[in-house]
Amino acid sequence: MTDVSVPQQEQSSSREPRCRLGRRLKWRPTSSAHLAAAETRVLQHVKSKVERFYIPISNNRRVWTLKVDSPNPEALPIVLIHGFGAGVGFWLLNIDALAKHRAVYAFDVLGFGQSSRPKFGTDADAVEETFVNSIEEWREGVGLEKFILLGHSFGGFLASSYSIKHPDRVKHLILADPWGFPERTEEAAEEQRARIPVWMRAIGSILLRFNPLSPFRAAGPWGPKLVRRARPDLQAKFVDAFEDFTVIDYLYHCNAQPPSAEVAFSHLQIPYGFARNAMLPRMTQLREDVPITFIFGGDSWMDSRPGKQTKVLREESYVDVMYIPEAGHHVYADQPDKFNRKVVWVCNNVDRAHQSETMQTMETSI
Amino acid sequence: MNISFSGCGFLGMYHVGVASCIIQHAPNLQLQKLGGASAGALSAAMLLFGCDLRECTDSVLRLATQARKRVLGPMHPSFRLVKTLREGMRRVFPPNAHEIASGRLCLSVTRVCDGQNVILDQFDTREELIQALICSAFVPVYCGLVPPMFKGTRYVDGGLSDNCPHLGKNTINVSPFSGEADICPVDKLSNNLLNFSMTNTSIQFTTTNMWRMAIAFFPPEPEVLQEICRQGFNDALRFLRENDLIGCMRHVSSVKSMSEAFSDYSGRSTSECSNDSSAEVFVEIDRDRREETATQEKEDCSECKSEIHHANKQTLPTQVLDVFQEANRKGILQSILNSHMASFVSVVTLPYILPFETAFNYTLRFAEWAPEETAYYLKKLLKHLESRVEVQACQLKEKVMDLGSKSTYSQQLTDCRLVVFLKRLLDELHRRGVISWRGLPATDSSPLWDNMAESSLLSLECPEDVVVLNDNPTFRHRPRFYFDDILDNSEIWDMDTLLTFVDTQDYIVHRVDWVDAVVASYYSKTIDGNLDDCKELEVSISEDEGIASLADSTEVAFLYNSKL
Repeated sequence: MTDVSVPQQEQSSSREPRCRLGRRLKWRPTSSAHLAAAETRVLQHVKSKVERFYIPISNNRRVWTLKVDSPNPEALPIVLIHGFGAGVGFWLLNIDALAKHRAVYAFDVLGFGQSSRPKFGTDADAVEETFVNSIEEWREGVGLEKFILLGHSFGGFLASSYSIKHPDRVKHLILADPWGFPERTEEAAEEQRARIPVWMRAIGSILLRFNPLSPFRAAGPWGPKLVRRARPDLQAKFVDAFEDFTVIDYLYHCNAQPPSAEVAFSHLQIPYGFARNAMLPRMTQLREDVPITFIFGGDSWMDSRPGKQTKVLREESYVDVMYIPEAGHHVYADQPDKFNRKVVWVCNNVDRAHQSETMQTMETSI
Repeated sequence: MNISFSGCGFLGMYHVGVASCIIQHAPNLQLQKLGGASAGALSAAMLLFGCDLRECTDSVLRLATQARKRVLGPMHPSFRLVKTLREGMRRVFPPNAHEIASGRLCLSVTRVCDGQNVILDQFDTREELIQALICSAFVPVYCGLVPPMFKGTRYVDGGLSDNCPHLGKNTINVSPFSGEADICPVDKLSNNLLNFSMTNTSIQFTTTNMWRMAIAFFPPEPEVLQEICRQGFNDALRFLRENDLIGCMRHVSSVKSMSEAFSDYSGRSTSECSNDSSAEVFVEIDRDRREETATQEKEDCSECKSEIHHANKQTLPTQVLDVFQEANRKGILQSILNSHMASFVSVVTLPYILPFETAFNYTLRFAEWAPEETAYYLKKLLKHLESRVEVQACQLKEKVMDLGSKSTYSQQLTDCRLVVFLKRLLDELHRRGVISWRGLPATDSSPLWDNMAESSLLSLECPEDVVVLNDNPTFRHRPRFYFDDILDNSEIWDMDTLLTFVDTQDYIVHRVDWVDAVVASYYSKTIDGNLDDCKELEVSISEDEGIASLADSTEVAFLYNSKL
């Protein structure tokens, strides 16, 4: 059963046009209420009992949280971090399977979905720190001690960054098609310059000045249709759950709100799509006792070499690389059963290791 | 296994690379259905027919050079994509292409009238197949203004509605844009998160992809095309290697089928015991082990080994490379034409020459297009008229049927009377030696009689066993009602006049089914004039008597009638 309590819109309600005429004149057919309703609709597919609430963090910000309680209190909880432009609703195919064994937490990353949409800085390090701190404050708010952290795409980048900073909290790091691992080499940049004609690069540099999702906002009333046309593949992924445009509309409402993390994200990257502070060389900074599992989609266009490269870099630690065939970048939605099975398998192993560990510490203390 | 090539204009060179890789390294791959849109459709056809690689590469390259020849590139009026394509296909395709293609080649096209996607996979003639491929490759405005027609419906490029048709399970998608297709280039230069889907083709938002989109319609130099072709070859090879599709016939299929069977099995088992995670793990491990043994077996097979070894060092096939090398070799004339001076001159003179060239080329196009189109419209008109006539004929038939069902007792009487009359006539003719009964004794004509009596007037058929004896070769009667003006309907015929008529009118005996004529004329008369007789008869015969029993009484009536 889904908890359908829609929270009060304190902060964002000030932005909403008050009078009816104002609402009519609004260019984009979206609002926080729309987003909340869309999310509720999407989560109707989830059979488990879902709680949703805000966790307040510093600077008067809050993080929208989804929680499914566990029947098994001993199992480690799992925390899901969604990718760029998504929200908690996109885990709809995974929550049930994962919640069978353990508590599941998911949250809208600061600046995405229903979380607060603050203004981030322009410095890549500062932006990354803001994200990581928000996650840590959220953890405190929820009251989790140790957990398994799963990040997809941009969420994978954040999850890695968080693990580097707070390795005590993370019992296992699962990265599903993570973004931001490979470094941009000079030769790659050189080759790009040589191959692509000047006029194309000129257009590219103009396009880079805009926020990547601004066309959808600029399209105003045609925005939802534009999203439907641009991402029919995404709808096809969730077709078992919803045959209509429910998921796509949720995607639209997630991203039609004023941009926040989207801008921050563009400060994190250098052309084209590489992370300014690439995660691969930083993997050595991650404490050795944090095990990592990479899950890549077999068909994904995301560079999957960093999985193996991380393995080489972290010789002393546990690094596992898995591929899920016939899955693209959205590996958790393309092959939900296989993905869930793999994650459950990894988590169960972590549980077992964790239990024996606690037994040992208890014995030594005795 | 199915394969689906996505549409991509001149990037079709990529598909040529993929196809040549499949032909060379995975000839055992059992492809059931091949599909595609636009250039992908052409590539699918090429792969299906096993066309000569050299010829295909040459055609694509020639098309590209033709497009690059003039200042405006493919937008120049002298560049005629459709015509060149059609000629190329006529040259390359085998004569029974349509038979091979029907049911296996799935072409994605867009119906003009409602913009819906249609998959064409039935072709009656070779020409029809070529036309379907033209439809699939017809980008509106770029290729021409009037969309081509296939089986009477206008279609345009399939890329507008479904660029990569899904052909069921086990479909290999091939796309020259880096994205989520099975065989596609991987852009290591970019790691962009954004991607979009253009009518079913997933395209990552990278500069290289943007550049690819541009050259899809404005072809680059042959060197770049060769690079694209090589990329296609390498990507396909990588895919084949990763999926263990290179090897001898036996092992390729065995590994494949095992992994497929296992995916089914594991899917079932998880649904059954999804609570028990250890079972899931066991399935995973067991599956891995099984696959391992299959792979092990494959590794030991010498045939597979040699295949794989062969594949590892191979690059583009020599036939393809030869074509590129030929294209790259430039003659003196070519280098003069390519020089800066020449291009400057052509740009400067463009405003003066272009109007004339446009006029000339469009007149030429119109002259070619008009007869075809006119023929189509005439055919359409004829069809329309035909259908109108058919409708009217149907109505007429219905009316007649209606009459038939309503045919009253009196009409049946007339029938019988007619039958009797005919019988007498035939008897008389027989006696005189004009006709004879076939296979029956001359005296016993009862089968004929029964036959005629039972049939209603409308289905009244002349007995088949009447044979006309004449000087001319004997011919049999065919039933036909024949209202002819030769027979004068104004007077009532009696037997003798009829017979004399038959005798004298050689014309009828030889050329017309004369019995029909006689019957018809008589029939028309009785219908008109003998209402009183009918009534008279009706009085004399009780109504519940069947038709067969009417025979005698009608004879009476007939006699009475003829006495008049």
